Amino acid sequence: MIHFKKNKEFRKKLKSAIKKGTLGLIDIGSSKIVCIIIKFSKIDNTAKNFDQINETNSFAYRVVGAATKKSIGIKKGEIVIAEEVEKTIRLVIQQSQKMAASIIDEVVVTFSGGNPISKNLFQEINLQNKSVSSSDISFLISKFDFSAHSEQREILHAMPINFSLDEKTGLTDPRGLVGQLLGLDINLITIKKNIIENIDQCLRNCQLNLAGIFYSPYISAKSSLVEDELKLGATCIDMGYGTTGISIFYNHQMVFASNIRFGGANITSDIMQAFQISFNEAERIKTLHGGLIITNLDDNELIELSFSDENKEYYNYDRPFISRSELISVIRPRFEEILEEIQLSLEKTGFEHFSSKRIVFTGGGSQLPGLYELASEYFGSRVRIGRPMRVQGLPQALQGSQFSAIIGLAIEINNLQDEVWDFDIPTNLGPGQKIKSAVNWVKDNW
Amino acid sequence: MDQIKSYPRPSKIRYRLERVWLRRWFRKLIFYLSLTVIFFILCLFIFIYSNDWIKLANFKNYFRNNLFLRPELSVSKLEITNANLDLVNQINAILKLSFPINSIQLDINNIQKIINKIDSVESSNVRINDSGVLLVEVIERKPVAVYREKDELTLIDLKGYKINSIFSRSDRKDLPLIVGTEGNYKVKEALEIYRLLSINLDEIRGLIRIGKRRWDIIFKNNMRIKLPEKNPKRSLRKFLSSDKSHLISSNNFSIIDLRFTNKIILRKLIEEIKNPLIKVN
Repeated sequence: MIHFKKNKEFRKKLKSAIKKGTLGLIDIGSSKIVCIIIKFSKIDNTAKNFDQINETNSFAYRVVGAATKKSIGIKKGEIVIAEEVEKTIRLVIQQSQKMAASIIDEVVVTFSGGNPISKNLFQEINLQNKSVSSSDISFLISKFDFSAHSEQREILHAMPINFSLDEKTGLTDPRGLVGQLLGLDINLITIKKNIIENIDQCLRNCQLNLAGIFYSPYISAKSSLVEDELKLGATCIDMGYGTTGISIFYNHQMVFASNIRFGGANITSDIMQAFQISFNEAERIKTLHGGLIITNLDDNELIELSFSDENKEYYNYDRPFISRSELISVIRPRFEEILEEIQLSLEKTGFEHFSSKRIVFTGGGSQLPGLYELASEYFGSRVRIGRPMRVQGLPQALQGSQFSAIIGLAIEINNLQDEVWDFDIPTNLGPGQKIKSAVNWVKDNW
Repeated sequence: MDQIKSYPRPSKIRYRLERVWLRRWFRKLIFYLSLTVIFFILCLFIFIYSNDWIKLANFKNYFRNNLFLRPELSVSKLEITNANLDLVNQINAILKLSFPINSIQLDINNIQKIINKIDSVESSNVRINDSGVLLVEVIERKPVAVYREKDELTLIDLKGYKINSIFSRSDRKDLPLIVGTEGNYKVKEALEIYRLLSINLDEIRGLIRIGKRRWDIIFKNNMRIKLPEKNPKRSLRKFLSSDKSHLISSNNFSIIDLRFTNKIILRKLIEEIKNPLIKVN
């Protein structure tokens, strides 16, 4: 039996930061580290008119500071060189603090990588035809054996996604209903050990407290999927630089998440090797001229290989120009490989049995022209290139789809998903705690 | 992927300093610390100079010499124009200025008020010249008549302001005499009556305002012309242009009464009275 002590501590810090008013959000990505600072304002209790109460948001928030910097020392979403990452985090924090003119102590982090494994667990209890109470749910959660999963790996998310009562299923809140068998599905995402500890250590060296950690495919789906897609079910594919994240949503809950260790960086290194140019130059022509569908016009379109590169003598610049069709013919096979990998891992989940086979592409890689046509060949017609939602106060420069993770984090913090550690899991109570829980019970009921 | 080069980023110390600077308590601390430092410097200054109080007095003198006694600011002279000698002496006596004086210390508006309060001054203009001269331009009141009230003779101007008193009527024989309460309020009318008579002033003793409403003209030979309340000038002009005007020059009557529009009432001198009233017309 594990107590999720660390996760509960995160939640406590997060709540205190929200109470204090400012919170930092950091996206530790393979290509860039983004930090935004959001400021909360309390709910307007003086609102008398019903229209004045904003029901969708539990509290108003606003982005007051933002900074983004190229990351060094991160490979496939995992920290490789801690010192370099620390330095970059420091720079990003410093700049966004300057913009916000306020200090942050608590940060929430999103990251990809760590080789996540998503597992759905199911347990049920016998209620003997009584109405479901919150203590029943806590008891049900305590029946799950999380410790078996946390031996080799670490639990990142453990979300209750579905309650079932006898034959009824798809319940979000079964409290008050009468039934016999109460069942619960939990989506458990585990990652490799010590990844959270590494991030925590990095932040502690920057005098910051970690107040929560979220998995980035889950987070970027929150910003890219619209309400109907969340309800009816959709797959969000976050095409990052180092990794490509997959998350499947159904009935507002994430039912599956996975990670493919291919990304935009692989395409860039292919270009680099194909044309014997530097990495930066390859990245430049990929973002400016890259594409996925060759047309006749592309044969004639010549791309100039820059000579301003400082170490150009090491590279073969005998050819000053390449045609765009050549570039596309390098990009496309690698991209098809990524799509194949996506399809493979979707097949494993039984994606074809889903009623809604909607696929939403987001992330920096989704900006490649021709993705829509290529992806709809692979996955059928229900493909959409998603752009993140708008968050109040976010700079224009940070509204592209490569920032969908950080925007999703702001949305998620505003409307937190319940996790297992948010419930009071009953343990063997000592005498002092019994009184405490009795007091809490009185408080809750009156 | 490892080819991304390192780029300059802030050091740990700088990062920590900036974070400390963003803390509110630290800023408050700096603020109060700087306040106390300033306070101590002031205390030190006073401590050093308080041993030698003469130095502090010198400090005062230094300011006085350097600020108030600058030649650009000093006023050296008072010039009064358009005024007779009596008025000049009067103004000098009232202002009591000792030159040189600093122009900052001079209140020009106040000086102008004081000068305007003098009876014989109608208006004045006070300013300071470029060459450090306090210029006072005075417009005096012009005496037009002598006014007697309770055995006191005063000169009055056209508006009836009392300018200054004189000792005897013979001092200003050139000006007509006006007597009677509130006679000075109707100086203009009185003067016009004088002009109508067009006689040498010596022949007329003066005009008396009677009951604050009408005029009497008194001649040297105690003859009196009683003028009506309404339109005294018209009735006088009518009388003078009529064939009865010679009655003035004849010394036979003590009173010529013009108060009635359609008749003139004459009173003979006492020694000649046989019929006290002679009705003309």
